Amino acid sequence: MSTHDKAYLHPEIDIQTTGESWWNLMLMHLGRHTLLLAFLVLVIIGTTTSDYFLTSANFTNLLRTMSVPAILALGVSFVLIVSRIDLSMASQMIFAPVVGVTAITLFADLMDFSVLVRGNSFTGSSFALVVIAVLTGGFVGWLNGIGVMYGRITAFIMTLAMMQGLRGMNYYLTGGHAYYLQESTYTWMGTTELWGIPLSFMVYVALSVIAGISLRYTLVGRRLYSIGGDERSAALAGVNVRYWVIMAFIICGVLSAIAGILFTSRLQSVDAPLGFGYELNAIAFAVIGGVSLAGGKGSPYRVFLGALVITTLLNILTLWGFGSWYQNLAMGIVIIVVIAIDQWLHRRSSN
Amino acid sequence: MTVASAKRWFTSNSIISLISIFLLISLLASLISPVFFSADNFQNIIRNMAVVGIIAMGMTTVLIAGEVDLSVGSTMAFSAMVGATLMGGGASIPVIAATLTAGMLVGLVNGLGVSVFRVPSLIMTLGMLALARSLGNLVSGGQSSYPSSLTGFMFLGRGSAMGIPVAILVFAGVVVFSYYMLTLSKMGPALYAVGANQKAATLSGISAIKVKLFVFVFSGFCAALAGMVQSARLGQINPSMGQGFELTAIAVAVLGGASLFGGKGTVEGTLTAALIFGVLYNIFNLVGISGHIQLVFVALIIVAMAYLHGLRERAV
Repeated sequence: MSTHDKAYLHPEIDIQTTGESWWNLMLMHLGRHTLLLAFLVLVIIGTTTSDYFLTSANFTNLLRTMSVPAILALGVSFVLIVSRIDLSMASQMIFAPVVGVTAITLFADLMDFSVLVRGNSFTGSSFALVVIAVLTGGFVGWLNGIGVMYGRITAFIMTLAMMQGLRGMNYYLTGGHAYYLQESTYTWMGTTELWGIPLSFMVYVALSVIAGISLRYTLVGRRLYSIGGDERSAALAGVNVRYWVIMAFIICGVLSAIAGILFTSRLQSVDAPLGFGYELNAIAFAVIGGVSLAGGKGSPYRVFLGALVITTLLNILTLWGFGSWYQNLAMGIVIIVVIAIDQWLHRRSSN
Repeated sequence: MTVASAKRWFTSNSIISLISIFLLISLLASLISPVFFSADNFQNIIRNMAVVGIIAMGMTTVLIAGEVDLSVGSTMAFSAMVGATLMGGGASIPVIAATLTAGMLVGLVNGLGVSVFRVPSLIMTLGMLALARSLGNLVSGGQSSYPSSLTGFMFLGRGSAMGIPVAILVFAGVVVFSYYMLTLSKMGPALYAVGANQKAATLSGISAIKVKLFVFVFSGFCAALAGMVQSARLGQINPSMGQGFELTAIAVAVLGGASLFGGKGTVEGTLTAALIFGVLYNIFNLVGISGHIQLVFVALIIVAMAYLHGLRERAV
């Protein structure tokens, strides 16, 4: 492995620790561990101000709230690492299960039986639904990638159009009604938990670990980081840029579909207007976790920390009795302040 | 004129190709629907596009300076709700003044964050999108206000002067000001310079901070103005208005030739793109295509136009 690769994988080695004042050293270490520190401070605040914060019920709730947007954030990280963006995640999240339900319903109609009973309750196979949803996610991601790499459409515009188009399709396919997904396997996915840890969170952790390992130790990571670092050099060095960027979009699509399955299994229904604005939350989680919009930077572990800090903050606000308006307010301020501090620390350390 | 030279002429003039698309779509529309070519319908098209068009003008200047403003939809709602708190007085002027000031304040904060604190504008205005929306809700308690007693305010959305709806006149005013600012004033070249290459612009004595503050304040102003036109048209000041407008405005500006990488964009391009969108929605409504399928068609058209736009860029 060249030193160039090492610099991507171990950002700490580029720090010059010789001849720095203690104040600068402290700031640097703060810069590395801001999120962990912020989390600890939040836990202390939460524990001292609310009796419910350290209960297992609240813990379960926190993990459950966190996992869906965190999976989206993990997905968009792949796209951000190759310095593209995906705004269509939230629409994809709903589109994938909707396509699953529609396809199975059509198939059942052809075979002369019905999987939609009592109005809009879906009773078909959950396994088939999950498989179709994941394939749909991958397909939509592939379309985004094709548009960006072969159509040379800016990712922002391509995925913005995808977001609107899929939202329209969601309304069209559902006919504006909710589908109720109360088949037993599906509801099991949404409700089951082990030692207070919900299934959705376990899925998220498993996906994060896989993503972390493949980004850090395999060809996938080396290719994606090198494209994000400098696309032209990567191409000149023989990296198949088109293939890897499209791959990043496909990964993002598949993860959006998985997030959608977990999201709808918890709600036990799917409806076109759901998930509005989730794409921006996911991007915020990723960016607070240190994924750079300019590409080439970011790791699943830090995305996890970003998601954890924000979700804990929102959880404490809920326990204090502040509604969603205050939570969004806090979220907006946190995004701006975290990045402003980050920029300031970065400028200090680069001076 | 040979085919090749016609092609070169077409591809080298982005505004001409946009206008051609506009004329082509209009021609199609008139074939599809006999009522398309009527003064009433044209007024209708422009009035429908006024709100998004005003926002897109602000967005164009922001994009030219190399930044992006995702907070415009929320700014619309926030500034309108601030204005609505003064409605009890019964006079329109304080409401309008407060709304515009609130919009410009949001823009000022965005501009300070981007220029002084160096927060990337995508993040700064994404944060502001959440922040301004919730502030709007907190100011109003989530309740809509009904400005029908304010005659001056209602005039913005429903009145007409010399037979032309005021909404269109307001839009025209914004277009003329933007055109003047970008092509005739000293600010215009500075905007393009900072957007194309900030370092070079700063080294040649242009204050990037001043430019960025200006574009964000202007964008906030446009958002507030658009919010008032929309509220007056609907007779309701609603804290959840404008959701998703930022993305439509960006799509309009980009199809009009602005680039997300800065340094590019024109008023006439954005205006034509807004008219193209207006005609498209108009055709959909005349033909009777439902709103959800409209979204799908518009998405396809955005992708197609962005693709053609890219072809043209590479041809030049």
